[in-house]
Amino acid sequence: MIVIETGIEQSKYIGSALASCGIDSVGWDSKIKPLFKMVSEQKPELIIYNINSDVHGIKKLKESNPALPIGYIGDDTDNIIADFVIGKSKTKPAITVPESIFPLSTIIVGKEDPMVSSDICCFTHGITQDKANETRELVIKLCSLGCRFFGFPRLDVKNYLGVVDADMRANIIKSSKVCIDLDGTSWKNIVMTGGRPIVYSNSDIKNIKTFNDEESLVNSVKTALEDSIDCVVAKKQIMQNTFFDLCASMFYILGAKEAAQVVLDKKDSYK
Amino acid sequence: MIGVIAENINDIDLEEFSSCGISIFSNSILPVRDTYSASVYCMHNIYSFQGILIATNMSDAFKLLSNPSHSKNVLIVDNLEWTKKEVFNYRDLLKVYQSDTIKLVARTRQVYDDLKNFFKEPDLLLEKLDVSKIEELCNEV
Repeated sequence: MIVIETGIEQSKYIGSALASCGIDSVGWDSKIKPLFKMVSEQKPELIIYNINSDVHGIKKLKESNPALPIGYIGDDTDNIIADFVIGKSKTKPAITVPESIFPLSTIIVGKEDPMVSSDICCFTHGITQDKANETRELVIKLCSLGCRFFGFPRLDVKNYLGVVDADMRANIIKSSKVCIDLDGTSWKNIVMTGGRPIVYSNSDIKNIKTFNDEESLVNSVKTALEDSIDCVVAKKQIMQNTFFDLCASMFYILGAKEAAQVVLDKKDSYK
Repeated sequence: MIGVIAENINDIDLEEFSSCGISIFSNSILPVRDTYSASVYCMHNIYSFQGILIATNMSDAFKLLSNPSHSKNVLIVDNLEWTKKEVFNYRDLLKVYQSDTIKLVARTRQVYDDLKNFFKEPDLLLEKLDVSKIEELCNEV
């Protein structure tokens, strides 16, 4: 059993990657359950804690169980007790976390469904109401191009067709010719789901079509609909840094080569 | 024989439907009798009704879908209902507007085009209620 302290984003994605591989792991909230109570209940074979834990408790645990491997998420400081660090460290084995690391295990690969197919789709998940209001003119332009909008927040246009769950979202993305990323934050997710994104961005994104105003939006959509977008290269780039790789590195440090291979095999299944 | 489902009687044009001889299935309290001349039945009678059943909104369309033994179902759409809803699920729209068991009738050209763009091409454009056209639609093989 691997126990991962919750409370930071990275622990969520590490847990998700491990769970998707069928490796026993559980989240632990140190504010709710004291360390030693968790240890007696879960009998962990590996603990990965973070800044939310009391270091003195971890120190005592390590003294009483020197064989129990302990990892720390965050940059190393003098008082960190850990066998390895997921972050920066000069004195301990460390796994550097790239900024572009992608939580591949959270992806649901979409299935083509003629019931939900369309030329252009767009999801409002994750964008703030302010952002939705800001992009009002782009939304109206997209409506004129026949784009279908989904998600929350709601948009006050007839092309807004309601809230969708994760499976439906994946199927819509896979079944549409292009998917508009209105705030530039979800294009990796769209690519890995099987979609072809057109991304709002003021700078170029390698191998991805972008726009930053109505004119560039129309141009990008037109060319994308005429010559279908190939996302193979973008997909390869995204897959270079995933939480599966991070978990594999962690297992290599611990000498668990088989577990590392299981994780990498799972990653390959997304290709 | 044709009947219209109206959970809320205010959702339908009572005079229009009753002038065409369409029966009404509703549990609402009805207005005074002299404004219409239709036969009115309690809603539960739809389960034994053999004729064509019409719904005019999504909520009533779900009642049509809940009665799988009844095959002659029509949804008359005179506006894009989802534009007035605050929170709604796309799956619900698909169930109604892409249903194989409900004939879709648009009341305006704009509604016809919008339904065609977002879901499927309606089976009929019917700007003025016409019983014979609805019967013809439902009797098509």
